[in-house]
Amino acid sequence: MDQLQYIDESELVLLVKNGNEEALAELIRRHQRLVARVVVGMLGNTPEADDVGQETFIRFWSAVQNYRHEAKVSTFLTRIAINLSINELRKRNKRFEWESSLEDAESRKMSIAYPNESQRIDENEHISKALAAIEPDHRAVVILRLVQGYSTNETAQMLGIPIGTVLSRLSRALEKLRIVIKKLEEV
Amino acid sequence: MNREIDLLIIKSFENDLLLNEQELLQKMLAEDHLMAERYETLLQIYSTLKNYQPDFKALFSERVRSRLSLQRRLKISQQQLYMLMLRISMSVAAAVFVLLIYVLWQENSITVDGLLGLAGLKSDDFTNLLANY
Repeated sequence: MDQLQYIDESELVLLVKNGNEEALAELIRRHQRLVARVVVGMLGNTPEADDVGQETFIRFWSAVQNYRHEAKVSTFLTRIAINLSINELRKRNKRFEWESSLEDAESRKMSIAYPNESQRIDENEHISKALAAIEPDHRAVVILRLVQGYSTNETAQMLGIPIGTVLSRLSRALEKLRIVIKKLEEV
Repeated sequence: MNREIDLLIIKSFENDLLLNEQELLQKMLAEDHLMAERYETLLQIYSTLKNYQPDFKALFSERVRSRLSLQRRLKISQQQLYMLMLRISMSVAAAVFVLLIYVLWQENSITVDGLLGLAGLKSDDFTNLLANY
């Protein structure tokens, strides 16, 4: 395991391809923060985010035989993570629509946007809350472009949308974030 | 208007401004203190988001591996179940076939001649067949 820390990523992927689980563990160690930024950013600090994070690496493990090093491992994982997060949000929306027929929709919306308001929050939680307040489509752009640091072009390719849409979503998201962050600072 | 200014600012963060856009932005920032404030706020949001470092709870890698092993066991169990069902269904089909043959045999509705296609055939038929040939 210790030796794995020092090996090159392409060799590590080769070991993972050969079914070496220790190599997978090392790959997870190297990339789990990157995946966490995507899934926790998209889904908030929830058990579903942990599930989607695990599923991201399991999908990688299942698809690694087809991995041809055309994209970096980090990009490959980010693509899986963002797609799984978007799917999870769709499922959550369906659940929400069903539940909101039973409960008061407005109070639910508030609890999603600002969970555990009484608790003291650290900076990451602060950002997670701000991100939760913006539209999921806009959030995906913010996560890829601003948190992960991909270029506008790469973000557009990953999400399958035009560059102009990325920029306009980014602009709207920033406007909303500005307001939400200001509100959170006042709390 | 705000959106256009934001787009200009965003493009400036990406170092993607044309020379005239850059000059326009600089001029606007120098002349309009509200816009300068907006620029600072967006810059702050950019830097805050860059420092966003959430992580999963401890033992994340172990959780992935145990889920992987669970999935593998589940797959093996499914394969074993499939093979078992296949064996059972083949055994049942064979048993039904044997039973059917036995019942027909008992009722004399099945004979060796019948199975070979010789039922009702006489020795004359065979002679005629050879003669015609």
